Amino acid sequence: MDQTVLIDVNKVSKRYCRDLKRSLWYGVRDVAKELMGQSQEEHNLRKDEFWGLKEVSFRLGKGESLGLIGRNGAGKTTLLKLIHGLIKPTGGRITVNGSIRALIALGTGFNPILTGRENIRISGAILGYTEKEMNEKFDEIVEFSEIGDFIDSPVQSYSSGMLARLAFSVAVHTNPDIMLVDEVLAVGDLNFAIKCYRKIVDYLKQGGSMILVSHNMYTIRTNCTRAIWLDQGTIKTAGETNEVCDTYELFAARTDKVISEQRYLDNTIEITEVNYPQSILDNDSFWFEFTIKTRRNIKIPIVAVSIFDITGHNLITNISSLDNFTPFLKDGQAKIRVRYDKLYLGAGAYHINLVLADGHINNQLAAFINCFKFEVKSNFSNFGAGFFKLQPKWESQ
Amino acid sequence: MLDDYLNAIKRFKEPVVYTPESPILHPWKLMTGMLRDVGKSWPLARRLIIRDLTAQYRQTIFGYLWAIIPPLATALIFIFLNSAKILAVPQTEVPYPVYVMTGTIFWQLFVDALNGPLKEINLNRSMLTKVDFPKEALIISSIGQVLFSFFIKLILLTVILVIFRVSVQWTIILLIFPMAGLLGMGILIGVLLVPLGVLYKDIQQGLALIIQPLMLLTPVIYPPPSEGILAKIMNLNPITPLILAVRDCIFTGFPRPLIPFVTVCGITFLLLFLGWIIYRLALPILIERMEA
Amino acid sequence: MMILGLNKEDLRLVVNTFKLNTRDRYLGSAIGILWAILHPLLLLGMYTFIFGFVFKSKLPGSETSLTYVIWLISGLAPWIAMAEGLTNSTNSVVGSASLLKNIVFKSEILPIAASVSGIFSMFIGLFLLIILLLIEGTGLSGYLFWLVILIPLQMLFLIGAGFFLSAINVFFRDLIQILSTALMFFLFFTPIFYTVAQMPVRIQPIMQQVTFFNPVYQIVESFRRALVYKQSPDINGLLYFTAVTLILWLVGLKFFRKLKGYFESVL
Repeated sequence: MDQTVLIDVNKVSKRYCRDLKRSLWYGVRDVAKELMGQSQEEHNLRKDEFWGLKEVSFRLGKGESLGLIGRNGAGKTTLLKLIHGLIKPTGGRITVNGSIRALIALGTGFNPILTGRENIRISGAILGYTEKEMNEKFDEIVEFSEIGDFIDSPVQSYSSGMLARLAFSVAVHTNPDIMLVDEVLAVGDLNFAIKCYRKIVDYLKQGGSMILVSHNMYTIRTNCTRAIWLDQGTIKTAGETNEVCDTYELFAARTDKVISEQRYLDNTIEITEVNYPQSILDNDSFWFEFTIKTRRNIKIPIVAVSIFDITGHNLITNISSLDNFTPFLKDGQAKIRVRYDKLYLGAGAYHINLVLADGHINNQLAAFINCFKFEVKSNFSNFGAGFFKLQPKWESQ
Repeated sequence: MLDDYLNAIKRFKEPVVYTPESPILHPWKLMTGMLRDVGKSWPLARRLIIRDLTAQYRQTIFGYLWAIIPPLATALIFIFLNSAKILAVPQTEVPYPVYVMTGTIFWQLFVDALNGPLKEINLNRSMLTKVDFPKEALIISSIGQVLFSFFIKLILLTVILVIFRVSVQWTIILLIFPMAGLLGMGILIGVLLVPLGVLYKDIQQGLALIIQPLMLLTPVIYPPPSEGILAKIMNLNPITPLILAVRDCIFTGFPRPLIPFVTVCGITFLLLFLGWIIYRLALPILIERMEA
Repeated sequence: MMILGLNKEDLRLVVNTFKLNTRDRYLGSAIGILWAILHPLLLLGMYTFIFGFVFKSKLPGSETSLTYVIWLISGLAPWIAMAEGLTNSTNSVVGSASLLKNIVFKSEILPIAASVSGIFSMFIGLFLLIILLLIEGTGLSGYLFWLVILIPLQMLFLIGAGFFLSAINVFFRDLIQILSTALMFFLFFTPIFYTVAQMPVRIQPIMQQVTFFNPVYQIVESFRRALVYKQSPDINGLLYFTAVTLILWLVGLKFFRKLKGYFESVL
């Protein structure tokens, strides 16, 4: 087998059962099958079953780091467990060439009554450290965890952050050929998180290979060279990280069920005829217009337009009063338009919040939260993960 | 130097393949895999034993004394019942307290071994469903804890023997055989119950239910009668030869009758190997259906 | 309205917890709710078999095994409720550790709901008993109605004990082991499988004194009198039992409340 391919997943499928009682019964039958030498391979679904994974194929090469993204229940954890050898596939085959360590759950094997020191030893043994390795790395692990004097206290007394730091510290000092990391990078405080990222980067630099599962797009974009988007057990798209992430983000934004809100102070105000381009290229101009109808006498109308990315970060906010603009209402009506020659936003999905206020931005007459969505497309795939697409001037001397 | 060599060996390790196939189809690979995993299990099993025993000690009043209280309490009850003649036990070759004590201590060994595998698996469910490790480690850890507890009981037995000034035969060194037999049979049944026991809670409950009455059907607290229904049942009971052999080795000499004893031991160890295979094959399938 | 610091809302919670506990017990089992019926029947069946047929125990002054079996079951049925109730209540607080740490509620609810958990098994046993009584021919009598007092009384006893046991178990986890050993001790020490009259004459006077103070004996004997002997229970015995129950409640509840503040730090 090609020495540079560390993991070969070939048309792998996995069945699961929804109903608990039936699942247990199927378990008994599957065990019986196994003992009689019959293969677990199946192409059909029994009652109440569904495909957790269906004919998934991909390869992981040496030095690669692969990101696995997708909604909850898409099959990511199942895939990791199969690669790890924890469960058997229903179809296909997986070939693994090298040692694997999984950071799938932190603190496995911890017993709260024992001290931090003792639990390091346990967790280490479970994760596969030999006695020799454990002795060598013990002090390093203790130091990295930043637990301090608490290391000799029962783990029961630790805060959840300390627990996570300790568990992560044990896990991250293994040095396998392949690391499987599942959603565990969101631990500890900022300082610690940075330390952890650095450690992972070091590991990758030294030639380690990694499969990373995360919901944090930023983490995936910055740490992975390739990505796979898994949905309902099948690969929707695979390839270059940023492309896959962009596709996934757009999908997530479209099926976004985040509640959009529309609030009016009272029925003296109405905002209608909202218009804006739903999709633009990344160097196009962008505009947003709407009509105000009101019976109220608004003394100083203020309009605020904010643009958010899909995770809810406020990227751009413009308030008319700060831009020295006051809408003019004739007979209580006005058509307002705000225009950006260039939006400078990178490819992705965004939404707009609109607020109409009187005299002060907090004196809100109307608010539209998460009602207006648009997307920015790009002709070039991004090389870096950047929110903004600025165009600086380059020069060399 | 050695490290480089070992690392080099690691590099040339054969790639591992996971398929839906049953490992039984490749018996040689299965067996080498089993032996290799046992080797890998030791460090982990050692840590698990240390962990569980330390934890047990820390949160209790009596700590390690717990090893002796169940058999001691049972013995005391029946000593009382016997001396009050509520229970009329025929004359035994050694003072009744000694007779009962040997019975309950070794019976407890069997019971602990029986409960061991399932208990250890349930204790470590989250570990099983999240990390891959050689599963033999759990059984070894369970055996280790049972043996530890047993040796504490042996101290109690020695004390009793001294107090009652009972003379022991040289055949006491043969005690290792019935001891291994009881341990083995307990582990065997315990391991065989794992597939169903992991999925269905009833098994554990049912087991707890059967144990006490079962003790009354084994010559633990009283010798086997020569006739009647009880005699027939005890004769059929596979644990009987083992318990009788224990007393024989300590007090009278070679286990008599020898053949049932040897047969039971032999079959137990043969089946243990089978049980190991079943355990190994069944666990991955059970793990995916286990709640953490 | 608050009785002993508990109000109607808490009662509702007790009922809910009880339902949840029951559901949990039979959730992962193959035969599910059937187990609730099978479990006590198996237990009764096993002891009946061993003592009734293998040992061929008989009641003094009676010829048939059936009489013995009826007599035995009338004692075992309340015993099962006791064993289950005490065991479950000991574990009740420790078993719901995560609940306690995250939600604010009166933790007294836990042992109360758990102590009563043996009541199903007892009813199964009583049901079996009634059938056997009808087969034997002696049938039932008006004394049956004593059960209306006895059953709640027994439950109260178990709840009172439960307060102590559940609280202590939080700090000393081996209590459950101590309990199981103690239960076995009481099972054989209390005249459940045999009568006081079957004990050697020499020790009978002492034993009669001792067993009087054994609350397990009192409740078992009361059940027996009402169901099998067709008599009223011994009033002195019942009063003693009630007194013990009251003391358990007063002291136990206070004990529990005093300790409950420390639960979280240990769990």
